[in-house]
Amino acid sequence: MNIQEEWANLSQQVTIRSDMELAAVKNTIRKESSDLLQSLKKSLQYNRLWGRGIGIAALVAAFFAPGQMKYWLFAIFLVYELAQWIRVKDKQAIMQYETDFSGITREVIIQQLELANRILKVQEIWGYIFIPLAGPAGLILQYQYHGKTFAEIIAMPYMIYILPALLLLGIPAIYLGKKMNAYAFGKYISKLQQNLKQFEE
Amino acid sequence: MTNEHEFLKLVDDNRGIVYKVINLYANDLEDKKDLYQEIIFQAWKSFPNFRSEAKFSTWLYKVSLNVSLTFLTKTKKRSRATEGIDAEMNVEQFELSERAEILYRAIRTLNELDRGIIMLHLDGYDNTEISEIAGLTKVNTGVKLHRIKQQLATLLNQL
Repeated sequence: MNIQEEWANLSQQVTIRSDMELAAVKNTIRKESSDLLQSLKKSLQYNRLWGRGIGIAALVAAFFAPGQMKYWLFAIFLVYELAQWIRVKDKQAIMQYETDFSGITREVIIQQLELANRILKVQEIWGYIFIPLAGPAGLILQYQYHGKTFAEIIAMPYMIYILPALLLLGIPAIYLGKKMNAYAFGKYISKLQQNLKQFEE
Repeated sequence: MTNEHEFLKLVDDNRGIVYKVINLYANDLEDKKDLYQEIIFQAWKSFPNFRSEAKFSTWLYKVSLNVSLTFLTKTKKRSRATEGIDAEMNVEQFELSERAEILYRAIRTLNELDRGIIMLHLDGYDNTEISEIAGLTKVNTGVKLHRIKQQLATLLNQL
């Protein structure tokens, strides 16, 4: 078989076939990318909105909360705002980053891989801070809602064990979160790594 | 700046390039459509960076390959229900001739980077151009091409 000749032949046939198959989508430009990196960016955006929502809800609740609960809710608002502020520049840079796909292939793959890893890292750091705190903070707030002071809560029987235990429950939750991210985006990262490796082979 | 209509006209004049790429990287009809649209979307976004002294066909080739090499096909994510629809659509599709189908299948067995390299080579790009597009050294491109050709020859003898 003359590969060059067959390639010209194949090219012609592929054009005829694709003209038929893609007739419906050929003449339009879609509004946004459907690639996985876009999904990662969206997930980061939701993460940011989610954090902002919790922080603001805590602030609003602080104005109406009785006793010490007011300070706890205000502290939650501050922690969430501080976390948003610390990562804000990094997140903004990620959200605004756009790949130029007309660049050199190897560099495009490296950029995509770095960006995907960076987005996942931001989500991971977020998880390390907030997932373990959610349990103990939720329990304390629940008791405070029923009129108990912080000192009374801490003095409750076994509370000295319950709070660290709730904190430790964050570990499987972090693990689960990492597993979910790996399930959702692992294939994408592994494809990029695999393709990058092909340059070295 | 070129407007959307002119851009689509340029793409249409060079659509054979995009077709070849998507046919060698996408797994089914829905993937082909998705990949085609993604390539056009990314090309339109990168179009302001296109310099008129360069050939549009080479530029579009680069975008098509880069998008395909970083694009994750969604075949496995789709439900079985849509597989039935795909199968139905495949019945009506244009069939490749036997020899074209053999070459197509042989190239698809190569790894993704090698598919791109052999495509560029068969479309007349020399080793220097291929190495500049892919980001390989010229020597590495030569070595890879030699190996790919050997691999293809073996595959074509087996098929």
